[in-house]
Amino acid sequence: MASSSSNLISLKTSDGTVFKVERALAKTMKTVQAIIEEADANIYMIPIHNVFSHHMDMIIDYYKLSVAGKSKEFSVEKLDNDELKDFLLAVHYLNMEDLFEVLTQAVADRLEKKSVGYVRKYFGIENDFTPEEYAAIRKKNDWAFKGDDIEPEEDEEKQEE
Amino acid sequence: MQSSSSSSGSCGGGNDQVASGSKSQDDMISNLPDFVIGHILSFLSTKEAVLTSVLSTRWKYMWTFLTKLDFRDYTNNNFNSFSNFVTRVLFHLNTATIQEFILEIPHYYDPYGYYTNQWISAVLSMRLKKIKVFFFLRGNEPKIPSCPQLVSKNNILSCPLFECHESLEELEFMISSLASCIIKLPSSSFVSFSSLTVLSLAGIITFTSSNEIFQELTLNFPLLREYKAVSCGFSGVKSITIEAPLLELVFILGMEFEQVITRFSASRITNFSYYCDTVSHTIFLDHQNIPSSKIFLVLFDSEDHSVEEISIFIRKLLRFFINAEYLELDLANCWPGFAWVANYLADIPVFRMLGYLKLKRVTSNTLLDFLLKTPCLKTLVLQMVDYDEESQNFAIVPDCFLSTLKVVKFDKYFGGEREFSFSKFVMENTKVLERISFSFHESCSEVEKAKEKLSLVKISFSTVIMEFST
Repeated sequence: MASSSSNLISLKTSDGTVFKVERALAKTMKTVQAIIEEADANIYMIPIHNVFSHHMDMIIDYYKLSVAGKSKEFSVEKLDNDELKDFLLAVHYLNMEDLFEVLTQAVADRLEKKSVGYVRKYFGIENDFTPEEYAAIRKKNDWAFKGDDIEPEEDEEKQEE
Repeated sequence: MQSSSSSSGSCGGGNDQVASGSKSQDDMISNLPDFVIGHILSFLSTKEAVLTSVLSTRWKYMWTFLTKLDFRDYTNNNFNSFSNFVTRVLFHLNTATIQEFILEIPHYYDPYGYYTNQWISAVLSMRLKKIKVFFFLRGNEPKIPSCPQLVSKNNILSCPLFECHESLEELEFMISSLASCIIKLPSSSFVSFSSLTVLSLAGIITFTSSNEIFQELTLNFPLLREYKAVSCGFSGVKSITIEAPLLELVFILGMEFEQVITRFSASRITNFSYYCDTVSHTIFLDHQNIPSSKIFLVLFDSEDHSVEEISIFIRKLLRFFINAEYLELDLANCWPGFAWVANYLADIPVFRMLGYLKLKRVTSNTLLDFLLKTPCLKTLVLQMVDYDEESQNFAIVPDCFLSTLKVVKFDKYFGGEREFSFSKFVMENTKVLERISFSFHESCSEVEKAKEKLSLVKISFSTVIMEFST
């Protein structure tokens, strides 16, 4: 039916590496599953774009841990922010529910209690508000900006001068 | 997220924490759909999530995809500002599902629950899985004026909670016991929350329906695992039956309205904690079915009760566990006067199936009371307290000594006189003992002496292993 070896599926990452994975693992990737199901003929190799071999390594690690009931031991701490973002995108592309939850939580943990400037840099967002717009939003969501830990914005201070 | 000084360009800003490695690239957010961002933001408190509205124009309403709401105000700010915030968030929400609603505010913010009711009602129909409402008290509250329109005391939370009875998995209402909380139920004396796994209540709860007042109310929670009631009381009913076949943990601290009968129809309770200062409350458990349990009973300040009353209460409670095979019991009475009364537990029921018994903080007389009622005991773990006034009576040798007791373990052994004479009693009279071990209390100063003393005791069989540990 599928590829030559009955229980293994071949996946080719964007950097050209071929991984032979268990069918059960491939099933957790809904994108891959959809490709297999839609194929008329046998598929020998499924290309997965946006996914690199180091991502696959981590995915396989997670799978092994979760099969052993130790999914809580999986950690992405060693990844820097950009690597985590890339990984999240890869997992999102593959449509893997559980791992996606884990990674979004990890991203949220890194954003928690960080400054607006940090978050902008983390996601690569450019601030395109005019100072008036910016002040208006701050005023509308007034309570969210309150608290001992909140410092006034530089732009606001400039405006008052 | 904090709102602090930031630059308007995409790079720079040396006083911010710098993401390690690469420079800022293309906006990666364009690769992630809105709902993914909403998902990430859901892990932050709602306050932080809304702060993202200032990141850029694209982010202005990204937070409206939140699927969890978490409103906490521990900073004693102005209530109006908080309330405007919550109302605005609820108004702008762009999702069909809100999984969690958490509200933690000082009680005086919303003393009668007027706003809380409205807020919860707004999300009730969104397939809520978790509701947590926590009204805390600070010492220096402004006084809450009494409200003449209210029938009884302050009433909170009269929203129709039953609307999410199928989806709700966790419900926590922690209101100070000064206030009363009304939970409206449909008119039936049988109510079911089919997905509820955790129920945690504090304060006075009144169950009402529009038509009737119930004498007997049955609450059916087929998936409930944890039940916690702190300073809780059920008013308006005579008895409540909680049907919870999967219930494992019961935690009761303090009680109002003791005359209400509470019945638990639950045969898998593994952890039962009861901290009360009264014994007139009536609790029934689905007895004869519980195979193993840890029981933790703390009776405070019971000067109002006689020894007789207390012993009756404990006996009644123990009766529910008579078919247990495994029991851990901690009868920590906070008033030592009780312990001197010898054999106040002489009339406890017989535990026919009990193989493992762990007793914490027990006097040797109470210990014997138990041993006389556990004919099949194989393992005994104990932590003894030593009262000078106590006189020991080792006249009767318990049955289990003769036929079944194989392992005895002394925890936090101090080497006191009574402890020693009890251990001697065990060693000299047990016929099938295999192992006896002593784990010393950290403040025991004469460990070596105690070890020596114990080793000198003549044990009935030389094959018994004696162990020491610290």
